[in-house]
This record gives sequence, C-alpha cells and structure tokens, in this order.
Amino acid sequence: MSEVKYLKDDSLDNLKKSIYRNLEQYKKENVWLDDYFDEDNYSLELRDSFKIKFNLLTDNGYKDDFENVKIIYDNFKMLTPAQASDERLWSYLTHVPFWYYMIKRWSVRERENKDENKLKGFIKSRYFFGFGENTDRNLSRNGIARLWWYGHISYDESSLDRYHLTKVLLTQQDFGQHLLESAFTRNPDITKAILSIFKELDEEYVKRDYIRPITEYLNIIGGVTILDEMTKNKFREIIYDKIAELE
Amino acid sequence: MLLKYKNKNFPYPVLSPFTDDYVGDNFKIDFDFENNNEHVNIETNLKLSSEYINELITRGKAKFALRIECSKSRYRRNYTFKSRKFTVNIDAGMIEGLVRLSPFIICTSSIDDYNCDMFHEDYGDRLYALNSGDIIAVTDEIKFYPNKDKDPLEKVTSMFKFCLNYSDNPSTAYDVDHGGNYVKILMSESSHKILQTLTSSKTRNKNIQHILSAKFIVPTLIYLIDLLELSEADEYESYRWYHVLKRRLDELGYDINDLSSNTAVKLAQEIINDPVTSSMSVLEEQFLGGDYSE
Repeated sequence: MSEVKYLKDDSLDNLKKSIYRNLEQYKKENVWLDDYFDEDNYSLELRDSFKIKFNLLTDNGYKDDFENVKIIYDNFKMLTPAQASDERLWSYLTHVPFWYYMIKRWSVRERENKDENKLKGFIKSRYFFGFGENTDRNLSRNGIARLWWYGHISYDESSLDRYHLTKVLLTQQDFGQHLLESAFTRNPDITKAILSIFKELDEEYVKRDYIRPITEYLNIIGGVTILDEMTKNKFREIIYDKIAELE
Repeated sequence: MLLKYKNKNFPYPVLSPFTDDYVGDNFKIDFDFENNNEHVNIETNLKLSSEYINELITRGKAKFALRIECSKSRYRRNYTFKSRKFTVNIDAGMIEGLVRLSPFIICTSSIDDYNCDMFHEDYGDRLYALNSGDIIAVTDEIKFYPNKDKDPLEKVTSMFKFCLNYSDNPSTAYDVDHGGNYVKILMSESSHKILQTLTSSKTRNKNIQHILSAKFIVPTLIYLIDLLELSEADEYESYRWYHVLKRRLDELGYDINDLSSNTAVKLAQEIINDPVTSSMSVLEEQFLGGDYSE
C-alpha cells in the first residue's frame, strides 16, 4: 500500500529529461523510482493524503476504462481542480502506485518497435504531461489523470446513478477524448447537456464519430452566441439538425 | 479568447472598442480582485454609454454577462447580471494560474427589430433578427493571476527548491533560476548528491536546515530583493514565489514594491529569522564542542 504523494519539481524534471536513458525501465514490471532516486527523497506526501488500498482493472484495455474511472474518481474525489491539473501528482501516480496498470494499459514494450522519438512522445503523453501549455490534452492523455477528469466532467450528482453520463462519455475512446479536449466543455452544464442528448440517441451515433463535426459546428456558433447561456433544448435542436445534415 | 472577437466580423452590428459598428458609443469594464487561499473575489463595474442597449437591458431584452475562464484547471462559468456593478466569489480550489474575464452584453430573448441610430451608416435602416444568447456588445478581456501563495499540493508552503543544474557546463557551484513558481537553487551533480544524502530520512539532522539556509537561502534572497528593486511592480506577479515572499514581507511590515530603504542583506536575514546566528551555533557545537560565546 502506498500513500498518495507527488513528485518534487526537480525529480519530475529529471525523469522527463531522462526518458531515453530510462527506456528499458518503462518495459519492466517493477516500480523503479526508489532505486533510481536513491530512497525516498523524490516525492512529498500530498495534503490530505491517504493510503491507496485498491488496484485498477487491467484485463480488458479500453473496456475497463469505465470501471477504472469510477474507482479513481470515487477515491480521489477530494481533489480540487487546481490539484487535479498538477503534473507532479499524476506523474507520481503513473510511476508508483499505478505502475502495473500503466504498463498493461499503456504498454511501452508493445510499442518498442516504434521510432524512438515517437516512443518518447508516447511515454511523455501517457506517463507525464506531454503537451506543454495545452492543458486539456495533458489531462486527456495522461494515463491516470484522464480517468479522474472523465469522472469529473460527467459525474451527475442529481441522478441515482451518478455515472450514467460517464457510460456515454466512454462509449468510444475518441468520443470522450475529443469532448475533454474541447474548451467549451470546461463548463459542466454544457458537457452534461451534450452527454444527455447523446444518451437519448442510439449508441451508433457516438460510434459514427459525429462528435467532431458537431463540436466544430458548436465552436462556430460560439463565435456569435454565448454557448454557456444555451438551454439543453437548444443544444438538442442544434445537434439533431447537424446529425440530419451529416446523414 | 478575446483575440477571436477582436478580429471577428459579426453578421450584425456589435458595440465594441475594435469596430465602429456603433458610432460614438462605448462599453468598458473596470475590475478589481482580492483573494486569499480560500476564495477569489472579483468586483466589476461595467460602463456603457449606449442609450439603445441600456433600454434593451431595462426592458429585460438584454443583460450583462461575464465569462470567467481558467484553462489550467478547466474552469469556465458564465455569470449574468442586470446591474453594472457586481461581485463574483470563486472557491480558490477551482482555479490555478491565469484567469481570463470576458465581458459581454447578450440578448435574453429574441429581438426581431435590432436597429439603432448609432449604427454606422453602412448598416442603413436594416432590421436584424437576433436570438437569445447572441452577443450585442463585447469589450477588452482582462487577465490576472490570483495571489495564491500556497502550493495546492504542498502540506507546507515553500518558495525554494534545490535542483540539479542540467546545464552542460555549469560555470558556478550554484546558481539561481527565478523563472517559475519556485525559485530553483541549482547545484552541481556532486553537491546535489551530498544535499540529498544530508536531507534523506535516514541521515536527516534538523540542524542541517540552519546551515543550508545561511549558505544558500540568504544569498538567494539577497539576489531576489535586488531583482525586485530593479524591476517593474508586477513583473513577477505570475509566480507563486513572489506571493509567498510578499506575504512574509507584509508580516514584517515591509512593502514589496518599495524595499529601497532597507539593505538586502539585512532584509534577507530578517525574512528567515536570522539563520546565520543559528548556523554559527551549530558549527560551534559541531567543531568546538561547547559554548564559546562571551
């Protein structure tokens, strides 16, 4: 069992700069940071820390995302968005308590035939934050952060089944990722309206990748109209009209 | 975000400082904020000179809107008001880093006959049909950094970090990098290794802190104080270390924007409670085995 900690700044810098040097470590099953940093000087205990007494599911790849979102969000619900946007926290969690999950779900060994630059980019995006100032992408790609943020944007406190919208979000990997990377979904009311509307539709509409043209269209409308003021019915009208046009 | 509006062509006249759609009218925002580590309070005062839009607001056909966005923590909310002065209070845990305020005036319901004497003559007498939520006025965006001196993850606030110097040929045994939320004290590989051993849980001696403070923190603080005296008032406001230092200086009765009446050497020692004296006591005990003070 480990405590919830976060990497010190220089430890994080060190690891990110040393990805090439540590490539073989990312293929191994054992946690290696304790040996790499020579004991426990590389991390600090999180404010309001607790012992992690659970594991994440690893057998079914993307299909386990829904259950894993619930596990992570239920256990880390105390995080504020300010804390949950911090690379030091998620980089620690990917490298230490959830290392086994990471090497199964985001396996470096399975990608070792890739070009070295691409492999480095993969490790940076999944085990750290790999997109500089583009914070939405950082949160949607880091292997553990994405689970928390998928939970956070779809959790519905008003419903008996708090994760009914999360199921819609995770119907297909691209759908959830695309929504989390759209700026207007920073408003939770907009996100939940869109997810509710897709919940009404057949699952096929999620799988057909209509979300990209729909979000592009909403961005265009957002240039003239404040999307945050739109009612759910108005969103429904726009989305249904767009789907009819695409079919 | 507002760059988008600055270069934007709306399909109807919009009151803004970027176009002459409305001739002679204007829409501006005055803004102030204060915060602690629990809340951020934003006070705004919107100034509007358009009689036409004022009338729309009075009739309930339009309202003021303020979109507040923080991209790092994925915060985005739209606040709407009928009065020009309003205050918004945000939980500090919801935001981190740069916050943007985008002020608008928007329709509250459909308007079928949007037309005004103050429109540029190019628009003639044409009537425009607008929908609820459509923007009819926009003005300059405001950006600010809330003064959060507490690291959201840390149990105890700190402004310094000891780090390895990754330069290929570091020219000195130690250097300072103040360009981030922490002031990094950069050390050579050998020194950093010794420091890690000294401060590890197995070998840690509480007296080490006094010596490290005297040896590294005091000169770094002297450097920072000199830097602040030569800089513009808000040049380092976006960094957390600036707010931690400001808070400590406030506690000691000093103004971070006016430190000229005190020597940096004196201030640095006062800020961290005279580490030189305590480190001398440690050295005395270590090397002289007792109290040699007269």
